[in-house]
Order: sequence, then structure tokens, then C-alpha cells
Amino acid sequence: MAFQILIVDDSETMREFIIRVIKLSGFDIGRCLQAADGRQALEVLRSSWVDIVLTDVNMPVMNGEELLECIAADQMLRTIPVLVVSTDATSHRVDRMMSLGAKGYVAKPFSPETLRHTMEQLLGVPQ
Amino acid sequence: MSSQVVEFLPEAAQRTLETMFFSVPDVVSASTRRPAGDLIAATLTFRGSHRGHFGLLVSEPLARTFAANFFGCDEDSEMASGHFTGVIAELANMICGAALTQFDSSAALDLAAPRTFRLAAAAASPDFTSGSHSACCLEFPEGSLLLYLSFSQK
Amino acid sequence: MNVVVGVGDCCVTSDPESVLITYALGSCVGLTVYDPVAQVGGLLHFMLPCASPGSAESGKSPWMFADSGIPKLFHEAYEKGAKKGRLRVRAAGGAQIMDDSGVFNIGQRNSVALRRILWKSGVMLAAEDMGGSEARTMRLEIASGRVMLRSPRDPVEKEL
Repeated sequence: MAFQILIVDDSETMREFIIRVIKLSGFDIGRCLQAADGRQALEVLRSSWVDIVLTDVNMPVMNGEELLECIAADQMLRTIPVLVVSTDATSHRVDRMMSLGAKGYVAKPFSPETLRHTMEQLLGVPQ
Repeated sequence: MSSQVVEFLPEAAQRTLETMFFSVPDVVSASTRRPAGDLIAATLTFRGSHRGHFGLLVSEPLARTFAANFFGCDEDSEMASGHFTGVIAELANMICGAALTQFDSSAALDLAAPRTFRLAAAAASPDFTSGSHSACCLEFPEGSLLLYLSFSQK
Repeated sequence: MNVVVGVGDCCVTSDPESVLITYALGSCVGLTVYDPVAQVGGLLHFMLPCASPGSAESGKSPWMFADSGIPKLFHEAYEKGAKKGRLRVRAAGGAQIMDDSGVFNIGQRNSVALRRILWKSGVMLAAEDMGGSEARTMRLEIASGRVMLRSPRDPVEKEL
């Protein structure tokens, strides 16, 4: 089964890094979709099938917390696992995002293997 | 407060550089001597439980090395050349976030997007290099990386 | 049949009877590659990130250094029929052990050099046991592809 992945981060640089990790991880990937903020991410989610969302927190227009609130409130979207990837790893932020339904949290900086391992767990892929 | 964060800043920088930029400095010191040559500068402000500024200066050849390592490509590749200021912005974002998180793991943080700019060798140093701050210098074969962190008066 | 890989050395083989073993992975790093389809495996034991140009080290064996040894390990595995996409890559070592100059970070530099070279080569580690302060013993069974580790703290072998 080919996975459709949505990467949400206002940094194109970081999105490129994450995409490279995903491609080297050996996952069966259909498409890596991208969004620069939460609003763009919702547009993608409402028009395309997505198996997992990786989202930053601090973004303009709509941040990761607001995005997660919208996903949690949407019956169609709330079953999609969301993995937070952020420089903000304070307990305040982690607790907040997990309480909103995030299934995992990867703090930047992260090694490629750390991201791969976390995604394997969320996608249910054998390690 | 400065004396505490001065411990976290080099550690956060080294952890970031090893993990995503695959680089280990030769020397880490409290030197604030501006690196020679053209530089890339990045600066950002942070708000929330703590308010202040973070800035960095990096030698341009070192910035290219960081970009090449980050993207997993050669230093003269198009990817590295076209994106290396974006890479330095990410470097600033991650070092600042890591240092502040280590300094106060229960804080509410709001990091603004970093601003990057080229600084010619003859140009004046940016404002963030003066005044009261914690600073550290990491030296590599390709050049130096200077970091500055200051908290605003409440 | 045990094949001992010494410090600054490497072995690549398709002999299913072989077990490649290396000892005293302190600040050094042991890197294994294994293709389960071709049943080709290799074990490299490197000491330093790279040779300093013009130094006495630069004329020595390429296996001593990460930047020369790692690409050569992969190349020799490909020559024996391994395919990049099938390789399982695992590493151990890079411990923080005082070196001759009293500087504690050769292990860390070796570990970072390994990760940089693999990242630039488009390869990710399947498993690793790096850092700490103890030397490790590492072996690769060519018949099964299993990598086993042992250390003074963990005298019972565990699979990596």
C-alpha cells in the first residue's frame, strides 16, 4: 500500500529534509504533499487522501496547534494520524499538542533514523 | 539568567550541528571575535515566558558546508547553493529553540521566523552583536560560527 | 568459521560459513552491511573520520578512515553482488574513550562522520549501538545476516 504523506512547515528547507528522510526510509510512498501553513494543509486534506500528517507548530497564517484543532473537530479528518515535528519541545507545547490528538512528537533537531522510527510506529510498518 | 543560558547555548548548538548538520566543531569558546571574510547572519526574536533575541554569524564557506551536509549533497551542487541561507535560518531556529527549551523546559515559547542576510567583510556588525548577551564561538576548518542570545528586560 | 577483522581493516564475503568478528570497538566504529538476497556481507572497523592531507596517516590503509573505508566497503559489497536497496546497514562503537592526546571526542567524530557519509550516500542505518564509554565486540553472521554485540557491561550477546 503506497502511503500519501502531508508535510506542513513554513520552511521549504525543512520540508526538503523531511522528504529526503521519507524517501530514504524505504516506505512505499505514493506522494509527498506539502503545505507552508495550517490553512494550506486543510485545503490539501479536504481534497486529497492523506495517510499521515507531519506538522510544525510555529507557522504563519495558521499554526500547528490551530491546524490540529481543526483536524480534531472534523469527522473525516480526525482519524488521520498527526506527527508534530517542532523546535518547541517544552512540556507546555508537547502536552498541548498531544491533548489535541497528535499521535507523536519529534523535537528538532532530529536524526533521520529518529524520524523514520517514529513514522514506522505511526504507520504500522514493520521495522 | 545569562550565566545559566551560557551553559546551554554551546550544548544546544553542538547537538543541533551533530544531529542534522553532521558537523563537530574543533574548538568551542566564549570568543566574540568576528570571523574574517563575508558572512551570513541570521536573527530572530522570541516571546512568551521569555523574551529576547537570538543571532548568529557564520563564515560563508562554513555555511555552504552546513547546507551541503544538511541536504546530503556536494558543496558546489545547485541544491546547496540555492538554499544555503534557508539552511542557516533553520540552524538559527533550531539552536535557539533547543537552548531555550533546555533553559526552561516548562516555558511557553513563541519563536518568530528567522531573518537572514549576507554581511560583507567590510560591513558593520549587526546590532545583536553588541549589548548584553550570552555568546559562544564554534570553530571549524571552513570557518567560524558565532552565537548570541540576549533576554529583554521585563 | 570466524574471520577476525582487525583495527583499521575490513572483510567482505559471500561465504555463508563465515562469521566476521571485530574486537575492541572503543572510539572506533564497526560498520556492517548485509544483503539478504545475495547473502553478501561486510564488516569495516575504522579508527578515524578522515586522513589529514600530507600527514603520516594519509599513506595508510583506506580502511582506517571513514571517508575512504565506507565507500570502499559498499563498493566491494556491490562487486560481490549486493544491491544498495537491499542492504541492511548497522553500526556500533564511537564510545567516549580517552585517546592518546587526552581529547575525549574521537568516538563522537567517528560517529558523526559515519552519519554524514551515509546521509550523503542516501543510506540510513537500520540499527545502531553507539556512544557510551565502553568498548564493544561485534560480529556478523553471513548465513543469517544477524549482527551480535557484546560489551563488558553486557557480557551476554544481544542482537543489533
